[in-house]
Amino acid sequence: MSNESKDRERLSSLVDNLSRADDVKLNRRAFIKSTFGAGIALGLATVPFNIAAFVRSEPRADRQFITTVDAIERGKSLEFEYPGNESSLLVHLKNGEFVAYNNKCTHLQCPVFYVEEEDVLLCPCHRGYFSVDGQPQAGPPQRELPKVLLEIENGKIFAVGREIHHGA
Amino acid sequence: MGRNGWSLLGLVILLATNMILLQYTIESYMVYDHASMRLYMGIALANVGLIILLYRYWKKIEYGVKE
Repeated sequence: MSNESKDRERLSSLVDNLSRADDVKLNRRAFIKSTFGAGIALGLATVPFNIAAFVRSEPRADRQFITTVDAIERGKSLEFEYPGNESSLLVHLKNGEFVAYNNKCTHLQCPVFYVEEEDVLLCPCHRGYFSVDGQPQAGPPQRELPKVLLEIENGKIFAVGREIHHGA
Repeated sequence: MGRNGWSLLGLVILLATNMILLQYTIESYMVYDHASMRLYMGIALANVGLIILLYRYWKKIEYGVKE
């Protein structure tokens, strides 16, 4: 027997036990089983985050001096760190009010900037818009920005705490 | 749509829900929103229970002898 015919015989012995109908059926079941497995895995994947949250310590939100009232003009903003090393944004609104938020976008943690012309906070990564009261307005973010509580004393602005949920 | 179809539709819904819950959990983790995280985990684990029940139901239909 020539080498070529031996190869052909070997090849046919590899495929002659396969039935297309059975193969498709088997793959369908395997796919559905994998989908069940994926659903379970996604559900269980929430557990490690809760354990990590339980173990880690939240940065302390002590009273911290940010800047003076005169140092920041109306319609301008200033970046600072509060609490701990977390990036935050102090905004002097056009109506004279001061507001501050942690400026990590609640979608994918990109920095959020104040846009004076539109009087909104904008996350440029995916064009997520927040109103100046920290609520999501447009784009992918679904949650409000954590609010930094402020106190103004003798022309000095202090950060005194943080609120994760602060309503509209 | 037969029982098999309905069970697969249920699976797709539960899978999508768990995917969204995982994303929400991660987002809450980033902003120290621990109360929401626990809520999302609770729902996700309840979904896991439902998926297991659904799997057993689907298996019964899929591998059951048809008369």
